[in-house]
Amino acid sequence: MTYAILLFFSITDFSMGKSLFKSSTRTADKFYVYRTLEKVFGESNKSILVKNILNSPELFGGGCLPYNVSMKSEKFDLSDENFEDRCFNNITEIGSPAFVEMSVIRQVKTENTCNEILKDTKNIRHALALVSLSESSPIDLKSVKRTTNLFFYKKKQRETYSKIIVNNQIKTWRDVLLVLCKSPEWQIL
Amino acid sequence: MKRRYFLAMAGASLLYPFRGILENTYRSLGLSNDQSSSKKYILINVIEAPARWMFDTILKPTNAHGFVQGKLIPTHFKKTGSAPFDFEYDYGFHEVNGYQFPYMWQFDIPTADGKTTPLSNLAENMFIVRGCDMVLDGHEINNRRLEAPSIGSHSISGLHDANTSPLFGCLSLEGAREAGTAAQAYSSPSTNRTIIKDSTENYIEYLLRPFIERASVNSTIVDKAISEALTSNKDSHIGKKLNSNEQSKKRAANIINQHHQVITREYNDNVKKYQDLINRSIQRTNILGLTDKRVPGLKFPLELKKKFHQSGKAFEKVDYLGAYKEIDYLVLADDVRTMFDTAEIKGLAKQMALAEVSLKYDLTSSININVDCLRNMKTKTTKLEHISMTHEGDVVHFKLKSSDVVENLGLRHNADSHKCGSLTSLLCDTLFWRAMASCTYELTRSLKVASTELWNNSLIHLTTEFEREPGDIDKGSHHGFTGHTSTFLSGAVKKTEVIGNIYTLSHDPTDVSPGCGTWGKAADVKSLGNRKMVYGNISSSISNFLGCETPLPHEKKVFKLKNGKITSLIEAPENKEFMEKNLKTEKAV
Repeated sequence: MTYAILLFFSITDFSMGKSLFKSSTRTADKFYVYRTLEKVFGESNKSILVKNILNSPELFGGGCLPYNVSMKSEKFDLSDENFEDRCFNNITEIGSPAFVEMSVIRQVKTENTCNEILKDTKNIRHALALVSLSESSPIDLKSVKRTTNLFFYKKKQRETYSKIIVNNQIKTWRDVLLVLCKSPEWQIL
Repeated sequence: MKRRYFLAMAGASLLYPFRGILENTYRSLGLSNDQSSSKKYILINVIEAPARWMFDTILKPTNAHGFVQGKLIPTHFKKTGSAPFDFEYDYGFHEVNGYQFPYMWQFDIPTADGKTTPLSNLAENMFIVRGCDMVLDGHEINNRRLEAPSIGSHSISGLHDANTSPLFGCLSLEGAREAGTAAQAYSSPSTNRTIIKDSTENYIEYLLRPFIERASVNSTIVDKAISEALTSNKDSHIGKKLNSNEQSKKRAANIINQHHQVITREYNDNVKKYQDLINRSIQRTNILGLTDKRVPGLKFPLELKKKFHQSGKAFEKVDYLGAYKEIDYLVLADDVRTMFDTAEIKGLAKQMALAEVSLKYDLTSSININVDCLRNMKTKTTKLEHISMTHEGDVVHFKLKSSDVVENLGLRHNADSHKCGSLTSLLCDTLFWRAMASCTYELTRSLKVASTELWNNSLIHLTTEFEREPGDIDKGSHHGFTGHTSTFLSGAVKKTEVIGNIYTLSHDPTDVSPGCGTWGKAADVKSLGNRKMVYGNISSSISNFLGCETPLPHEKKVFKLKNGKITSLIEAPENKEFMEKNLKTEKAV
């Protein structure tokens, strides 16, 4: 009887539904993504970031402030203080969830944002300057590790990406920054 | 503890590591359903629970079943006169494939070729589960449970997506309701739903545009490096999700880049197609017993005979005039039918259009559609508070308080018809379901034409939170959460079938209106151990069809898929007499 009970418990987890417990990842919201990319690549990319990131709370998460300064506005100036807190599409964005899981469309939108930003070499220079590098700096393990600091705060991730970038013999800083920017992992908290 | 016993337990626990081998054996013997990768699940969720007793809550499956006609549970007018309140209701039946379906099933519905087809054709592949007790009251909790019946666990579509790795996670077509519905209850161990907001202008463009933009940039070496990084993390919980997304992203990009023009064109054509079906279903219809004759609205001044409640209390204004209520407004149209000339179901055409192309081009494995109610019904109207009521003997006089209180407004029919009268609800709900039937018929037809295999592997689930319970006075209906109906359409349904037990007449004191007639309240099911069917039974059945894990493994199925055919697992439907149960702890008198 005891053996039967133990055998029963040992096999029931796959026949009765082992993945029923729920867990969810915590992803960065639109404000975090916006701020990170603005910090890394410069304030001149605000319009790109508004179009792809701030406009999509259903993909990135993050509400908008229900105060006067944040009412939905057809026109606003990117130099307005706290413009990023506005409800860009609809006042219902006030209720957007704080965390939205990573989805295919979110990843593709992030990639498109990175592609668009990194078309401009000025943005590449801005990013590299933050870690005391320039476009003429050699793409070696040491330099690449410094650039991973721009996106990743976990040591393991920084090391993984550094090794992979160097091993794949990526030849331009643009491509190095694309790998880091387009990876969905830096948006996982 | 004896040593021998301890050693036996320790030895037996060594079996635990072998469970992985057993699991693989289980799968290799075909005991797990690996057909699930091609299965599609479409939840068409009519939010706020309009009445269904005129559509697919089968109140009397055959003539041998008991049925008590409720005075406020009509399917059509027995007669309509030329003055307000000069009408009489009736509840009619029409035989469809051996079952007594409600009255409207004898008529035709519009089709995409500009013609019509008998509504009964929709029933050919229809499996109706009635008499399900949702146990808890409330729209939000019950609507969310339609998708995630086990609160806090993964949802049906979420578990299905985990099994199928679709290009896009469940398409959540939220409509006007962005919170508190089945769409938001989605949860998956491996992917995220794809939310498409009501404010999105073009649904297919929203889905495809990021991929079309992405395609213009070729960065093979970058993509390779990212894939490598994600693969190195693939065994972690997060890594699995990201890798799954990565694979889906690549597949989506390939398909979209090849076919986006065709898909977009087809979607745009479909929007027009479904919009035409909706308009023809609702506007300027000529349905015998419903909209074939003028239906007079309220007209003031009005005189009615004085009435009293059973308690002896005199009727209030709302009790007299309630039949013509739409929330706070009274319908004053000379002909109520004209209200529907401008009526619309916002967003439904786009939702059905996207559902069709998504299924045909295998963009997703599951779709959640929140369906809105009838809106923009333009009519002459006034608020109840603008009506004065005076008594003169046995006569009650109603007048407009002033001449400027009449407005022409576009009313919205509240599907949660607590404050909608029987006359407005009969017309609104019947025409609404007619539009739903027409759109659903077109979706099923399109799937059949696309591929027999696709049709056989698709499960369309047309449902609401619960049925409605009519009030005892004509000023609105109530939540019938003890009676829920789920209607399924699939190529795997080979003949029309109805299952589930209801009460012919319930005198349950916890009902809002005990004894109000047969409306669909759940009754005990012998096959389930003489207890009521609950939603977990339905969700287990859906999961069985889809071949995925069920959120509620302890709840028995009420139907299952066997040899490509959906078959019932419970007894034939019964209409039972209500018997008040005594608790076991009660002493016998």
